[in-house]
Amino acid sequence: MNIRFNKSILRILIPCVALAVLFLASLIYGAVRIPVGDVLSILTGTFEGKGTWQSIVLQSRLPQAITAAVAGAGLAVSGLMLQTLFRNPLAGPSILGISDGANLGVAIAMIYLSVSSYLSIIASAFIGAGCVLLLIIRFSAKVKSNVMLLIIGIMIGYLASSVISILNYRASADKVHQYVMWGMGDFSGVSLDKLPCFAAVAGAGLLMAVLLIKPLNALLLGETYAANLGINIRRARILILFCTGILAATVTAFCGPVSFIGLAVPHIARLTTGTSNHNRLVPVTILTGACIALICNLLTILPGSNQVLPLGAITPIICAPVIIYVIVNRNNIHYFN
Amino acid sequence: MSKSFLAGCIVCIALLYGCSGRGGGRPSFDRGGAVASSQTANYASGFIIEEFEGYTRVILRDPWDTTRIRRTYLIVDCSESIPDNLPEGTVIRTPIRKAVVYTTTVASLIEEAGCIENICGICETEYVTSKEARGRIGQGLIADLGPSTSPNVEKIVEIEAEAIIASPFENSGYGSAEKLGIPIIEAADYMEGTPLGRAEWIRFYSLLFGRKEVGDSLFSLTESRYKALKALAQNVVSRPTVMLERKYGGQWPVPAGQSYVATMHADAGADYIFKDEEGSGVTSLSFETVLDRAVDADFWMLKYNAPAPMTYGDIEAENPRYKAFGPFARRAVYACNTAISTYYDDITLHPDAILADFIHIYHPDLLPDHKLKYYFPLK
Repeated sequence: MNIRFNKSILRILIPCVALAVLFLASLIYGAVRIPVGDVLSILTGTFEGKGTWQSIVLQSRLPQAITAAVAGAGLAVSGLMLQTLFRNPLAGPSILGISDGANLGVAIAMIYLSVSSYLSIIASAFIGAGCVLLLIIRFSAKVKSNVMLLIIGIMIGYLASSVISILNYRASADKVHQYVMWGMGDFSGVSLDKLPCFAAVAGAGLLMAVLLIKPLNALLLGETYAANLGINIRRARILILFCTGILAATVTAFCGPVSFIGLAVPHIARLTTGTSNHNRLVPVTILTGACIALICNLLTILPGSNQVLPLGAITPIICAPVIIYVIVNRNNIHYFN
Repeated sequence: MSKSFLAGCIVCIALLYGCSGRGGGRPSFDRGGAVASSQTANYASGFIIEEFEGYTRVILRDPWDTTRIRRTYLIVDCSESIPDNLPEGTVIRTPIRKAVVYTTTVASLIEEAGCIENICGICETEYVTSKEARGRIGQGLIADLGPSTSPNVEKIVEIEAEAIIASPFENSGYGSAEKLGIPIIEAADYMEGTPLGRAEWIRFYSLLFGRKEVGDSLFSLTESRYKALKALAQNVVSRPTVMLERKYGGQWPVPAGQSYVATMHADAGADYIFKDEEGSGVTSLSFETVLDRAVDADFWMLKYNAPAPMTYGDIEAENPRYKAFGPFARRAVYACNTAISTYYDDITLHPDAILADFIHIYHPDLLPDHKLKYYFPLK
């Protein structure tokens, strides 16, 4: 009993420590070399050196690290909820077309309306994602089968991508470039003054995910059993879709599309905890998602160089091997059986 | 037996290696006949023009591997018969009467050479700024061929184009246009590292339309103007520091130290902050790197594409951290709206005009009467 209790604590404690270390590393390591002592004195408010360094640590690295952690956590937990809801290990936040809706909103704003201000981009991403989310929720009331709902989500995603292709086809090179750069994902776009807004909405989504643990566990047994346990299936489905939609829309609006984290992290969490019980899985997924996003954020800076790589090129390098491992070892992984 | 076989293999490989030299496609520059005159470009590194008895040979170097030949064109006048001793290469009968041009910048150069009537199709016509060219598009004399990445090939056949002038991209072909049997002329001027190297490509383009003398004189004019302006700013006492462009997504793309843009700012008497970045293209830096190195820059020059003029409020709304830069606080940001100005039309043949803008901004006393044409102070 004691050993089991200790193991449970360790499973939470390890990602907590990893998160703290990675968060600190994100403040210390960057394209500009700032000594560790100086970073620490900047954080404690005792630094009296270069003003630019202070600005880099407090205005650039700090909001970027918080954004990465919150975005990673949000994407990961929304991936977990969708995988449970659809009983499909390859479901993720981008599968329901919500990210594509955000992409479409941004494409219309950037390419068609020639908008470039950050707030307009966020608003357009939210509107795009919100429209798709409402559409999905509307369909969820009509379509009872989760598989069919998943297919509808994929089709909506294709429709949005198709419109984006048409917009890109006729757009100027400048605007296509601007849109492509946005589409590569970026944790550095959220400035310190916009961080509270991002963290508040994403935080509400994360809190809602924690509150949905009970219906998520019930859904693991199948919809009929869950209904017998007193779970209102229709309500639970709408709440899960709403929660994942809000998280995916918020992260995509503020950071651009960030792929693979929502898909891979729930598997990493299941493999490390060895359970499908959401009581343990949800917190571990949130913490692991934050850690993986921070690792990806750190890897965007080429060591020994001041050049940066796009986030969209890094997340698959970290996450795709996990998904391949899960698919190849599907029969040996107990949570599939 | 196996030992002798192995030894034989090693000898064969050694012989083959010895015969091949470094890089299979290395230019050999064999003459293939008596050279009447060779006109190796003075500034451009991408092409060589050689005149032979009955034809002119133009060798295009691969911009991504200058030790390799990318294309060889054999230009033969329509009024003369094709010589028997032609070496290997793409034969182009000149003057080309009907040419399809994939980029509007090259189209504007051809227009300057006085050959607008010889253009029968342009891709992305929405970027055409010239009134005459727009009029011809309106009259249907120049066909709109759609995007340059996937042009309307059936239309190219229908308008009976004799040649396609296209910009090359590394490791990428021209799709079904390559199967039409129409010569594809690669316009790699944009890969040149110096403004005059880029401008010199007018000599090659003019040659294709039988306007060699016009091309040579246009280039000479640009060369003399550019050199005069450069000489004006060469001995300035102080060189103001300049930062370029702005952040896109997670990256801040800046022209590398050997790019023609970097060269132009140096020629205008400025100290380009990222001149030490290696390469001739664009380097993607992080925001913090740019902030660390350019926070105290004297000037900030950027380009944008928007229907309305950009303001300080716009760039602040785009990213509040731009406020930290010195040029923002001192109101020393200059911007070029590429949607309205002819910057991209003029960058190839008239770098002198853009250089004059730069000199006037950095050293107003050197060109006091100059009126800005491309870059304007942000409101």
